Amino acid sequence: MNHIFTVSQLNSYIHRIFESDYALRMIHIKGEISNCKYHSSGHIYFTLKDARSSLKCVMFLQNRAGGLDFRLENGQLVIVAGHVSVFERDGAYQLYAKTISLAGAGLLYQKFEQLKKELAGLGYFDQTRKKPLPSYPRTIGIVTAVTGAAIEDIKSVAARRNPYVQLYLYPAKVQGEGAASTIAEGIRFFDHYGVDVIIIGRGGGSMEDLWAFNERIVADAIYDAHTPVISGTGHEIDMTIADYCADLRAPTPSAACELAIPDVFSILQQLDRYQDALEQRIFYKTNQVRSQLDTYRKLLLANHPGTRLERQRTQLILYRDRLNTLIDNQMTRTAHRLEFYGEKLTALSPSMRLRGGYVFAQKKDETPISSVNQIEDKEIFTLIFKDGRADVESRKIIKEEDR
Amino acid sequence: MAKNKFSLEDAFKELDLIIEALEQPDIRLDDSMNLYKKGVKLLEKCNLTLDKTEKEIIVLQEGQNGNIDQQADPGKDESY
Repeated sequence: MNHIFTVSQLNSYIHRIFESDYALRMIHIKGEISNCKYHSSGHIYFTLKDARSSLKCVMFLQNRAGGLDFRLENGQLVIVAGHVSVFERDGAYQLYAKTISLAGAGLLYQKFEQLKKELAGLGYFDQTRKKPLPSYPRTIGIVTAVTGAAIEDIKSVAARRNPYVQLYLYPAKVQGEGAASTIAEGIRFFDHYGVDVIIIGRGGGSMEDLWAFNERIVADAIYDAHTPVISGTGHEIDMTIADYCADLRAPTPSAACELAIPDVFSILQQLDRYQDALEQRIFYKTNQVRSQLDTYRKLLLANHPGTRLERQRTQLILYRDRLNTLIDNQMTRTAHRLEFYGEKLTALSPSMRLRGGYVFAQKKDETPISSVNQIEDKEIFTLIFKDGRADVESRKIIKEEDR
Repeated sequence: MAKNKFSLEDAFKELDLIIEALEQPDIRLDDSMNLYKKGVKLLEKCNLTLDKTEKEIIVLQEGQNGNIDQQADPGKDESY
C-alpha cells in the first residue's frame, strides 16, 4: 500500500523544492499588471500576465519604499524582480516582488517625466521666453515626414486659408531610430535659413511612436531656435516634450497650420474695409469743404459791387414806383377837390341865385348894387334876370331908416 | 526677420491712426488730402505685399554628404 500524505505535507514539500531552486531565488519577470489591489495592510497584490499566462504577485509593505517609485496601475508593462515561492495555505505559488520598474511604454513614460522635470527646471518651458508668432508670415518651414497625413493636412489647410504662403518641407523621420536627430536638424536648418515660422509635428500614435518628440536633442533645437516654433504632435491629450518647449502648442499638425497661417481672405476684407473707410472720410471732408466753399461763394456774391448796384437799382425802382403812386394819389385827390369846389362854386354863382324871382342890380359901370344908398333919384341902372336884363330908372328912393 | 521693413501689422496700425486723424472734425483739407494719399499708398503696398501668387510646397531634398538641396532658397526671397 502506498504511503498517504496530507495536503500540508505536500505543499510543504513543494515549498522546499521551490526554495532550493537557485533560479527562483532572484528572477526578473516582464509582464502586464492586472487585478492590482493596494490592500489596507499596505501590501500590494496583483497579477502579471502576458499573452498566454498569468502569475500571482505580491509586494509587501516593507519592500515598497525601496522597490517601487510609481503607482501601480492595471495595464502597465513592468519588470518585477523577486523570488518565486509557494503559499502553502492555498497551494499556490507566487512571485514575491522586491522591486518593480516600468518597462516599454511605462519606461518611456518614466523617462518622459524625468526629462520634463529636468527641462522645466532649466527653464525650457518658461512662458516668458515664448516667442510671439508673426501675424502675417510669408514663409513657413515644416519639419515632418514627407509621406503621411500630417503634411497632407497642412497642405490642405494652407491652400484653404492662404495659398500665397510659401511652405517648405524638411522631410524628417518622425518615428524610429534616428528620428529625433532629423527633427532637430530640420529645426536648425530652417532657423538658419530664415523662415517666419517653423512647424514640427506628426500624426497621432502611441507614446513609442511619438517618442522622437520627447527627446532632449529636439528640445534643445527648439530651445535654441530664434524662429518661433509651433509643435503639433499626436493627439489632443498627450503632450510631448516638444509641445512643452515650443512657442505654441497645437493639438495636431493641421491645427498648428491654422494657428500659423492667417486667413488671407480676412486680410483682403480688412484691406477693403480700410479702403472704404478712407474713401468715406475723404469724401466727407471734401464735401464739407465744398459746402463751406459754397457758403463763402454766396456770401462773396452777395457783397459783389455789381450785386450791390443791382440792389440799389431795385431799391431805386421801388422808390420811384412809390413816388409815382404817391403823386398819382395826390393828383387824384386834387382833382376830386377841384370838382368839389367847382360844384360848390357853381352852386354859389350869381346866375344860380337868380332863380326863384331874385334879380341882381348893377350900375352902368357894372358895380354891383347892394345898398339903396348907392343909387340916386332918376338914376338909370340895370336889373339882371336869369334870362336877360332890363335898364330901369329909380323914381323914388325909400330907405329903411326913413320908414 | 529683420529684412521685413514693411509688415501688414504695422500698416494696419498706421491705417487705423490715419482714419482716426481723418475723423477729426477740424482737420485741415490739405492735411486730410495728404493723409488720404498716404492711406491709399499704404493700401497699395499692402496689396503688393500680399503677393497673390499661389505657392506650391517646396520639398527640400537631402543630397550627398548630408547637404540640403532645394528647388528654391527661402532666404533669398526678397520680394517680401
